[in-house]
Amino acid sequence: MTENADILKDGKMPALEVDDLCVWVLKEGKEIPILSHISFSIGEGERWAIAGESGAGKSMTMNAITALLPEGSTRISGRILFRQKDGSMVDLLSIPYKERQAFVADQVAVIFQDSINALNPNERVFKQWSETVLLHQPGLSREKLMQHLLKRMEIFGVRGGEETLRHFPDQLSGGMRQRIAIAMALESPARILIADEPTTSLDAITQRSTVDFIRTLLDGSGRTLLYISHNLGILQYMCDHIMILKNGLMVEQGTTEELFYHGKEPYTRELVRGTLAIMGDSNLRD
Amino acid sequence: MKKKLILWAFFAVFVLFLFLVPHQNIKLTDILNTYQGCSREHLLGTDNLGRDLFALMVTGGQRTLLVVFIATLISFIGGSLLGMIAAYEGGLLRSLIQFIADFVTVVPSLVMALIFSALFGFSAPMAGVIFGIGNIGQYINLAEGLTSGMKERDFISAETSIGLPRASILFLHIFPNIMRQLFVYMGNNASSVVLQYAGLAFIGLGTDVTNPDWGTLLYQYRVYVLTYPRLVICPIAAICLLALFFHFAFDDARIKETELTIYD
Amino acid sequence: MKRIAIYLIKWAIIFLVASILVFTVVRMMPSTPVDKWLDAYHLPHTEENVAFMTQKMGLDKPLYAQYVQWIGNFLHGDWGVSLVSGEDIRQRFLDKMPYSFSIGILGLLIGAASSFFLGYRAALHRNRFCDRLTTFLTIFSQSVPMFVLSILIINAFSVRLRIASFFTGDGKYAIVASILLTALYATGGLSRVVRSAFRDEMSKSYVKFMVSRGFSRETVLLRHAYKPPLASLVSAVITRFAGVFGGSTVLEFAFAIPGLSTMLVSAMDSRDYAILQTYILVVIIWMFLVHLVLNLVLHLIGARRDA
Repeated sequence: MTENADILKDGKMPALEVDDLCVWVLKEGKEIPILSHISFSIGEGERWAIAGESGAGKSMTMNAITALLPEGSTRISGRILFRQKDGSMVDLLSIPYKERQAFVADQVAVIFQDSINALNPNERVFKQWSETVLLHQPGLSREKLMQHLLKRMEIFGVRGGEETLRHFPDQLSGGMRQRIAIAMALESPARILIADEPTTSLDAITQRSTVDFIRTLLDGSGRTLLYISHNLGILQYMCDHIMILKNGLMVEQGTTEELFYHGKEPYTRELVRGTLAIMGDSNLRD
Repeated sequence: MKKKLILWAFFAVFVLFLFLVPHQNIKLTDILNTYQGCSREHLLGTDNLGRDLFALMVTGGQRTLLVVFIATLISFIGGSLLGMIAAYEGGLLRSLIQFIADFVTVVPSLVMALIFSALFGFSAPMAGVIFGIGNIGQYINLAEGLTSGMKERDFISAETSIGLPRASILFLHIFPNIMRQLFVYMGNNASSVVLQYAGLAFIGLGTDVTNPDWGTLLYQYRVYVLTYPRLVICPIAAICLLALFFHFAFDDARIKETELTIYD
Repeated sequence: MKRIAIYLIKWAIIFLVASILVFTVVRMMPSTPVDKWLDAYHLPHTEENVAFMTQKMGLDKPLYAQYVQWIGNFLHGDWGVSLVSGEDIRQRFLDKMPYSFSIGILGLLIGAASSFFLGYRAALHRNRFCDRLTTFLTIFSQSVPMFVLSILIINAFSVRLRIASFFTGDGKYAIVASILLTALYATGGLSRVVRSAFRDEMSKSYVKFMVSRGFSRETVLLRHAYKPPLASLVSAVITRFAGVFGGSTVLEFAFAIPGLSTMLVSAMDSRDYAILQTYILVVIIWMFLVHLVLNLVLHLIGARRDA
């Protein structure tokens, strides 16, 4: 356990602080560096983005933060600090490997790239959802559980009531499955939401509605967001801070405003120019 | 790749050796010189009847190779062809071919071989044909599954729509893509044919005891495992090494390669 | 409903084709059942005797009538008598079945259960002990014939150590050894099937998602992702059953277990075609029941393809 009383520049307590994170993947006895010396600090309630081309290390950063890196084939160093309710900062990497997952699940909720396939095809929706609820609220009676699920379904716009819960995922539409997946992720009391390219496999219209949906969720709850995407357009719409990765290195980080219009690094400017060319300047400012 | 080359080189030398090396008459018994150890005259010694073990092993090896060759040829060519056709054509033809596959998998091929060798006498080509037909079902299922998968790929449906002849799509475009898996299965199947044939000879219905196979030798010598282990070890080693060779020679590491998951 | 009908029709055709095949093959034999019968009772092959017996056995009727009569009797439970000993064939089969079927069923059950466990461990801990063990067992079962191991077992336990006798007494050691060998060889192939099915599941999105929600990796795999591997295992067991029949032939022969296969071998030795014919029919019906039960199990597991 590490006590950390660092107070950020604007006086906010950091919700998540990553300090000198390095990740290597072990392949055929060799250690290949994937991430080198990544540091950033996310304040409570801020909305951060990780941008970069594919292979830049965006997902690897997320996997490191969410303790999804396999123990046997990766090596990790640095510190990943989560702020606890009592204000202390706890380093994920100081926790034994076996217990990290349970710890992280209480700290962050994760929405994945492939959220349409995020449900277990062999279990009814009720089973998977209720077991997730029971993970956080053990010993809930069946009636209470049902009440809870129906309430959540309303919040997340999952239609069909109990009937939907009895279905297998392949009997539901893709949009419905995605909403259920997001709802299940947010069963955790976590104050941080990490979204890893949640819209890549969707068509343009669903993309927009998903992004808006995530935004409404955040607006009401004051959750902290870490949004990972290669699409700067969406990031600009969603986030107030951006960090840009390239080949496992941090290129630049700052507020969206700064990076978009006063980027210092040539790579940042190149990325922004590319996005502007595709989307049109006016669209971006929207 | 290099390891495989060495393996195949060994095999080539082995085959040449089997068919070219001069050996004694296997029917020659010599009651005065039974259980002889290895010598210049008898490379692997003699058995309980004074027969030359080396000569017996060589002729047994020739027949085993013949059986494996016939069996794999029939099931590989027949099975791949039928499986590809079934998946590509669909409809009644597919049902018919799948029926054949089901039928031959339901009737155990070792039992069939046993019956046929008892009825018509034991011969290597016949055993090869029965094993070949008996094992065809698995090839059909495998080739069918793989071809169905291929058919959904864009480039194949594109070729179908521009009207390329069926045969050229099947052989020039589908087969090369599913070949790798089929060859791996062929290697495993060839090993199991070696074992099946040895088992058939071991039971020995209708076999000619004067012209024995590795399996027959093992049955005849099984009581000498403690007294003259050489007699038992030779056929066992031959069977196992040949089966191992087929397993590894067609093994393909690229197919087995597994992606890393969050569990590793 | 339609699928069940097609399934039953398929098996009816398999039964029909196999019975016609075996019937024709037996009729093509140079020595007729009449010759066998006369030999068995040491009667001279006079024209009068042959004609009498031909009529008595119904062999003077047209072939199709003989076939229909044979199948009809079989389905009614009259399986005829042995051409050599005159025993009731059905009674003989019923006496022998427990040996063969218990070796096949128990061997495969134990093999399947250990395969599931080993395959799970092998998938979970890549390149560790269980993973290497399954690879070894696969190669072993593909390169060392069962009867080689049986010879070694017989010599080790009964000749060397003298702790178990396989050929005297009630033969319980022989049966136990056969069951364990069947299980060992089944594990060789099946454990890799389970392993690769588990590996497939491990790379799926839903597994990663569950782990990220706080379920432990082992729980997710064993309690929530077990269905597809279990279904693959059962499918593999179905296709392996015919092989088990062949394998048990060798085992029964090596350990001198008085099962169906030993009976077949001795019947073939004495050219007792009546037993051979019945044997094929029994094998087909047995396979039908195995397929039926295992397909039912597959249905109950109810593993779905990807959503």
